[in-house]
Amino acid sequence: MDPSTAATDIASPTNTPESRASQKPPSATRSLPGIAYTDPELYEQELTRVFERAWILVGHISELSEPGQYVTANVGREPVLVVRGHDGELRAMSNVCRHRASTILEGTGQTRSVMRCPYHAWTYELDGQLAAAPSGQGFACLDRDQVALPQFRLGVVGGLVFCCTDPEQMSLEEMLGPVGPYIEWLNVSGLQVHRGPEGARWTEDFEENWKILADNYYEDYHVPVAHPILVRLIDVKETVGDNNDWCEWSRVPYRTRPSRDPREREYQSLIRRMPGMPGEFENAMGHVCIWPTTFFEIYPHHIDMWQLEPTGLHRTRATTMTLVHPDAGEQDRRARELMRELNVDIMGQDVDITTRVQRGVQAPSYHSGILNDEQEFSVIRFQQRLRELLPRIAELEATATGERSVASP
Amino acid sequence: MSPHPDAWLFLPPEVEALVPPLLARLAATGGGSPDDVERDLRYRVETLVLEGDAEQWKAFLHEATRMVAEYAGDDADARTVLASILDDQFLLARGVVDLDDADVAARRKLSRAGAKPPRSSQV
Repeated sequence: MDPSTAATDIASPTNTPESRASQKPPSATRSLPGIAYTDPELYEQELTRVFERAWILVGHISELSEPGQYVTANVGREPVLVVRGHDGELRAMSNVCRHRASTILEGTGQTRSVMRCPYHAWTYELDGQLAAAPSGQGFACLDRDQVALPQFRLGVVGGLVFCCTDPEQMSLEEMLGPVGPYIEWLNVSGLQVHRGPEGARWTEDFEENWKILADNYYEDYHVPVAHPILVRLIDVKETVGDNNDWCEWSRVPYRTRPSRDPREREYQSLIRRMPGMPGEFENAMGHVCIWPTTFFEIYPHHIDMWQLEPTGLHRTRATTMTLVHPDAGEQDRRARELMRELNVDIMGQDVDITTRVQRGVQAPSYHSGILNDEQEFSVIRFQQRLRELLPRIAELEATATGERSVASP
Repeated sequence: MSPHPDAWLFLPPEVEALVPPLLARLAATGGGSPDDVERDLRYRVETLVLEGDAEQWKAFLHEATRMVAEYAGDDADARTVLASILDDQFLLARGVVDLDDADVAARRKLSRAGAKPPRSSQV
């Protein structure tokens, strides 16, 4: 894509209040029913029809520069790996050994010249073909030419590597819509993954249904109520952005007034734009939401990318990866460290909220809520996609009764 | 009940986005540059959002209510929308501070200016 075109589009965001109103189906102004957050049958549909059909972020291209370098992730229930082959090609494939189903690789890193299963040492070439199995003579009918790790679709946009296990799914570029050029514009490919004390990924587990956490991140309606830190740091009313049916980006300026909080003031004093970061981020931060649960927090000095992965009906794992500029200095490190401290506080506030919601959605008296067309616009869009993909929701909405939150006229 | 002096006001972006320009429209008939008036109001409201306490916020609401009540111009839309926003803010403020008789009197003025609270919250 011509960068100048991307810059023009990005400078003229289209998700104005007017365009948002035109995108909002009239029937979608109510939230999903509470039972949608606790129904086991719906959860199964979500795994198969949402996560196992989506393009899932698996890593950054800087992690895959040499043959044998790999990243792993889960696409729904499918453990996947992406590895660069000896021929220089990147391939996405199942991370499940064809013998007794152990996962083969873990985390990120560098294999030897082959990939070896830790269970019985079945050994695969980097293109996924089975090379050898110990005690091979003991197999009555093992045709190694017929055994390979199933290959999946791979997409790379702006240095970010995605995997999709559904051959019928739309292209990555189509799904990303305006977010694709936006990522390119951010020069994400020029960054590298920061390895903190926890390694290249940082995970945290939550005791809530994944949609409660996603709903919460998709809207800023709660920000003035729950997050004083954010109100002091950013000017939410000046948010601009763009979206398609699946993905969105937004950008919001920092407040110019110094915060009354010393830690926040120190952060404000350290904000500095990374080389390659567009001038629009001189004094602004941004967000990206990629269907279904990949989110970026874009700061002038680094980018946090995190995604939610359902690990149970009421259990969700958040995995975070941080991208930094190769020449990041002490000031950038301190800004990143302070923002992480602030985010820990903000996350604590969100956990307090989402824990309450997890209890509340199970209340027999609760059916569904009315959503704010402006500040919960992205929740409306997100839940509308879920309704389209998951027929079980219509069944639940038809049977959910006992509405008591809205008085009769 | 006295509010904690550092109580967070949880003012929505609507307050910063809409109140200054609407008040500036009402103030425009009284002379002065509307842009200057709006800029001053934006600064005041931002200060309240970032650093204000409940009593300061209520004082501002009373000042804005007086402007709505005394407005004699023909920008009825601005007056009505502003009256609704301000009345909502009085109702929401009860989350951090109790309303007193003066607040109730202010809400009556806003009601006469077009604010339409739900039945159980009418004055």
